[in-house]
Amino acid sequence: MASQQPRERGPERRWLQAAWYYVPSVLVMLGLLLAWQLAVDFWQVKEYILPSPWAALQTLSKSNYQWTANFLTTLYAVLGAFALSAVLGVVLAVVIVWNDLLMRTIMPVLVLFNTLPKIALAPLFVVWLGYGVWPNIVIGTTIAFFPMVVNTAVGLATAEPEMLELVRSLRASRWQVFMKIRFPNALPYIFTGLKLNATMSVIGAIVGEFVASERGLGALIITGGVTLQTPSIFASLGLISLLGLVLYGIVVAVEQLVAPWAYRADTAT
Amino acid sequence: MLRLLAAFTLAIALPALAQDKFTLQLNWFQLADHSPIYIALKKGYYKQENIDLTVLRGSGSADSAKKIDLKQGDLGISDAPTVITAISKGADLRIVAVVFDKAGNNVFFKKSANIRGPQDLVGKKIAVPPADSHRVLWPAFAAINKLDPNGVTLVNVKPEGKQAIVAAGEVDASFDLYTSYAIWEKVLGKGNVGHLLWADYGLPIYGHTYFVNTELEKRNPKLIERFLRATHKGWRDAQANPREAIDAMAAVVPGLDAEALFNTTPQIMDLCITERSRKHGIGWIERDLMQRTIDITFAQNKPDRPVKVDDVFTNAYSSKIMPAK
Repeated sequence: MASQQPRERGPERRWLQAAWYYVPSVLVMLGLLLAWQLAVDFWQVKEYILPSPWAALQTLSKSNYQWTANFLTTLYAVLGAFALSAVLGVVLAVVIVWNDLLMRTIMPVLVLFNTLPKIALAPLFVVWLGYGVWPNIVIGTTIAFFPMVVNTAVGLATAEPEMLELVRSLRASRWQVFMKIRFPNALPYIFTGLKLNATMSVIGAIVGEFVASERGLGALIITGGVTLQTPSIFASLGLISLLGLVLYGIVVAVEQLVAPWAYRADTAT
Repeated sequence: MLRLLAAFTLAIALPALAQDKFTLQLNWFQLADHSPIYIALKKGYYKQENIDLTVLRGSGSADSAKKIDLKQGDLGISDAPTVITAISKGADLRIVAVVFDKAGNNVFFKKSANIRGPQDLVGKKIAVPPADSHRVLWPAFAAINKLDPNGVTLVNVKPEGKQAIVAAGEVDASFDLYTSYAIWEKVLGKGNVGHLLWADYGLPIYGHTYFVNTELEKRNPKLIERFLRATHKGWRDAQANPREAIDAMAAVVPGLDAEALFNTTPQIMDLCITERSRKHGIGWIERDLMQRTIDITFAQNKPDRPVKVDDVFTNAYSSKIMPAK
């Protein structure tokens, strides 16, 4: 019995440590919210100009905003853009690193595409693709996939030369080199790409909803702005941040499981 | 001594000669209905009233209402329902004149869509530019025409994308002001534009209005009157010579399609110059119609606090400038 106790305490202590790690940031956030609430109360700012965080929170209980349906619409677009960017980004990076000619031809095109302001292109996407979850996924992907490609490509290309030479001298096939050396080396980079992708997919989906949409948190923000229902804008922003934060957290958690050697708590936030 | 006295007198007199700085916050970027302001500028009507005018382009009625409430401008142009909504939310605003005596709220579609009356809109997808009041007014318009407000699918669309989304067939129609007729004709082709003006189907309410912060009324009420007089002289002149007004605007505002804007002037004058403005002067406000506008604004959503019609508007600064003809 006594020998089991440390094993039971282990995970508990890890959780405690993790929780303790986030205490300062949570305190700062709560402090900012409190300062905001007090400032709005003290200066009696009109609610339609700047609502208090409490007023925004209360809006979430109002059924006429159909929070669940709108949240799900945005969630689908975000997850779609995230998944598509991840797959497209990794595949493109592999193709680029596999062949030098492809690197020289595809990479400049990607860089050129990345310099285009996607927010200016978004209205054209509506004309070409219509509106709805799918076009929003496409808009989100155009914004989010580039950091995936670059990070993955760097990870694949920068495997240690000594390691590469060693496995080549052991007559490893190109595929083996890729799977045993290049890919594990790229994992931390891929996760960095995924973390960027997580936040950029959220931005992309909202940009899409701003341009044309029937529902979604972006649509609620637009409607709230026109009808001066400012608390609903802040409530939507809160949900969007939460969505981005949770997606980011999931990437970090998966990274800890899949590539624990790459995970460093101090860079995870 | 005498010279000193003269200098002293001049020092006192100078501020009186200095022009009043005045900032006008438009509802949107410059369109044909703003051209009267530019002909008034060109002809020096504001200078005559001792006003040094700055015109700021806008980004929607809600935004200009906010800016005037925050005193970031002296007088704004916004949809009446938006100003009324802002007042119900505690904004210190008052409507001092109307731009249009008849609201230009309207629905555009391809003629081939076979829409002959409001009842034909049921089951259709309609693009609604979020930065105008159609979304707020639609339930009232539907109710007057005995339609289910949820019988159409409203699609949020960026204002500049509404013609393209109809042309591409993504939606069947778009709510847009009647004053944009020429732009629709440009996109859909001459003779292909169908439209229903809501005012023709039982929705006579006020559309665009001029409004101020109530603080300006206390500080300098004469300034409001002077601004409206100069502006309405501009409207009178624009009515007589719309081409000159559009050219005056295009000369100082870059990037305008003067021809397309000129083509919308007949519709604009239709909405501004009516029997009422011929009787009372341009911009004059009728109490009953303002009350009706308030009622329709709050037909679906109760106001945050009660709004009284006599607090919402005043004719105290009426310019009494009569239309050209």
